[in-house]
Amino acid sequence: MSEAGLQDLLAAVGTVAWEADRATHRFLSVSRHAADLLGYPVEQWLEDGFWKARIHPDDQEETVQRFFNSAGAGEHFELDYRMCAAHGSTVWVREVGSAGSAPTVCGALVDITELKTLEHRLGASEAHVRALVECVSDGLLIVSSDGRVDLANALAATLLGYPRDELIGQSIDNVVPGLGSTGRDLRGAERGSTPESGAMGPSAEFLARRKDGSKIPVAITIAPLGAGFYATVYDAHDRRAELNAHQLETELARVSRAATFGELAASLAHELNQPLCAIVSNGRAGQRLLLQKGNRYKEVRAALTDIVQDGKRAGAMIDKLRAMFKKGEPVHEPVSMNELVRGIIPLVHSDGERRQAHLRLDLDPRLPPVLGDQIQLQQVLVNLILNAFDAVESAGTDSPEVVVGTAGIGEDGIELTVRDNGIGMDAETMGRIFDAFYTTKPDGLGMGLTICRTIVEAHGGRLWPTANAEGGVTFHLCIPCPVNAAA
Amino acid sequence: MPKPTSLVYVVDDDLSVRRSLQRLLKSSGFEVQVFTSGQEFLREADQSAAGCLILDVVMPGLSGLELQQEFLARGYKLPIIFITAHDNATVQRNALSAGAHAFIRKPFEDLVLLDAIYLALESEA
Repeated sequence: MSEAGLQDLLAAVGTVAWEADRATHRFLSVSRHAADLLGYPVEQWLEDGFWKARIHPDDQEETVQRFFNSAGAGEHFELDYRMCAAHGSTVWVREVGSAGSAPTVCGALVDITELKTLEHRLGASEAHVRALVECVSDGLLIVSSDGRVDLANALAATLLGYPRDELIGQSIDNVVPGLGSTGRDLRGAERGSTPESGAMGPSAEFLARRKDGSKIPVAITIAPLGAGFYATVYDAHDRRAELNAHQLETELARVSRAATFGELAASLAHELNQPLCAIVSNGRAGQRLLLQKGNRYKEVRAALTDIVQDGKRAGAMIDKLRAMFKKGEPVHEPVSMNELVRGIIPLVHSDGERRQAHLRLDLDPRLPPVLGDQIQLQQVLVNLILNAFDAVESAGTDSPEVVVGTAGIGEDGIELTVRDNGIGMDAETMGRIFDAFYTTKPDGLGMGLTICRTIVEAHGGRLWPTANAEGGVTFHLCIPCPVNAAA
Repeated sequence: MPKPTSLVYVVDDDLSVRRSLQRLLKSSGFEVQVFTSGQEFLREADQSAAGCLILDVVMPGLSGLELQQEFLARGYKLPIIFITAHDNATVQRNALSAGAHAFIRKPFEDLVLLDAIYLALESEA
C-alpha cells in the first residue's frame, strides 16, 4: 500500500499513527488525521512538549507516569485519557503502543469520546435501575439463562432468607425448587416474541428453601427477560390475606348495597301504590259506567287508557329496581350523568317526600358521557341523595331542599354535586365520614360513603364534601371524561 | 245515597290518582273538584260548598296532616278522609285523633272509599 493510501485508511478509521521519542514522548511523526483529532496542525504536534501540554490537567500526571513506566520496561501499553482540543473542548483518547528496545516508540491514538459518553450514560441508567429495584415493594429477582440469580433486591433476600451477596450467583433451583424449569417453560412459550410482549405468567405458589433450612411458601410471578427471566416474589401468606381482604370488601359492598336497596325496595313499594291505586279506581269506575244508562263508551275508553298508562308506569319502576339489583362484573361503558340522575329520581322521590325534602335538579345539558359502571355510579348517587334527605330531616329546616347538579369542568371531566340545606357537619365528622364503620346514624352501618369513595376512585374520580356558607353540606363528585368517550 | 249536589274535594299531588278518583267519584254520582296541593286547595276552594275532603298524606309543600292542622286552626268543619301510599301507624293515629273520619291505604277498593264518604256526609247532615 502506498503512503498516501495508508494515510487515507488511517483517517477513515479515525486513527492517528505516530512515532515518538521513548525518553520524552516528543512526536517524531504523526499521520495526517492528527490535525482532525485536536484541531492543531501536524507541525505543532512535532514541537517539543506538545503531548504533555495537551493532556487534560486532571489526567496529566498519571498518564505521563504510566507512559514512562511502560516505555521504560519495554511493555505494551493502553492508556485512556483526556486531551484538550484547539477549540477548547475535551477529547477522550485511547493510546495504544508497544515499546520495544528501540529508541523510538510507535503507537496509535483513537478518539473514544462517544464511547466514554455512552459508558457514563450506561452507568447512570444502571444506577437508576438498581435504585428502582430497591424501591419496589415486592421481592424481585433476575435469573440468567443458566438458572443463576443475577440480581436480587433487599426484599427478595430477606424473604428467601439469604444475605444478598450469597443469593446472587446461587442456582435458583436451590433456593426455589422448580422455579428454574418454570422459567425455561415460559421462555419456550414466549420464543419468537419480543420481551415487551411477554405476558406476565399468573402467580404460582412455590416452597422456597431458606438458607437456615426452613421452608416458606412464596407466590411468584415471572416474565421473560432476555435469555433469562425476572420474578416478583411475595410472601404467600401475605398475598392470601390481601386476597381475603379484597373478597371481604367486595362482599361488604354487596351487603351494604343490598341494605341500601332494601330501603329502596320499601320506598319503591310505596311509590308503586300510586299507580296501583289509580288502576283499581279506574277499573271500578269503568265497571260502574258500563252499568249506567246512556252511551258511556268514551268515558270507559278514557278509563282503560289511563289503566294502561299506569300499568306501564308501575312496570317501568320495577324494571329500574331490577336493573339495580342485577349482579355482575363492573363494566365500563359510556354513561350520561344527566340520564343517570334522572333515572334515579323515581326511586328516591317517595323517600324524599316522606321526609318533606324538595329534590331539585340543576343539570348542564351539554355534558360528554363518562366511562363507568352505571349501576355502581347509581349506587353512589342514591347513597348521597338519601344521606342528604337524612341531613335535611334532622335539621328540621323550614324549606328543606336537596339540589343535584351537574356541570362540565373543562376538559377534565364532569362534576356532580349533591347540595343540602340540612344539619351540616362539624370538622371532626367531615374528616371521618369516609372511614369504614364511622356513622352518625343510630342504625347506620358506616360503610355507605366508604364504598362510594372506593367506587368513585375506581372510576379515576374524586369524592369530597364541603360546608355551604348558608348551612348544610355539598358533596362533590368529579369523574374524568376520556377524550375519546364522546366519539 | 248521596244527594245529587254532594261535592267532594280531592287533594293529591299524583296526576293518575287525581284523574282516577275523579272518574270513580263522578261515576258514583258525586260532583268532584281536584287540587294538586294543600296550598292550591286553601287558595281556591270554597270550604263551605263541599261535603267532604279526600286528602293525600304525603305531598310536597303542605302535607295532608299539616293541612288538617290548618283546618283546626281556622275552625273549618269539612270532614277529612285521608288516603296514603305509605303504611305508617303513627301518622294514622295522629290523623284520626285529630278528627279525621277515615284513614285509607292505597290501593283501595272503591266501596271502602265510598262507604267512608257516605259516613262522613251523614255525620255532617
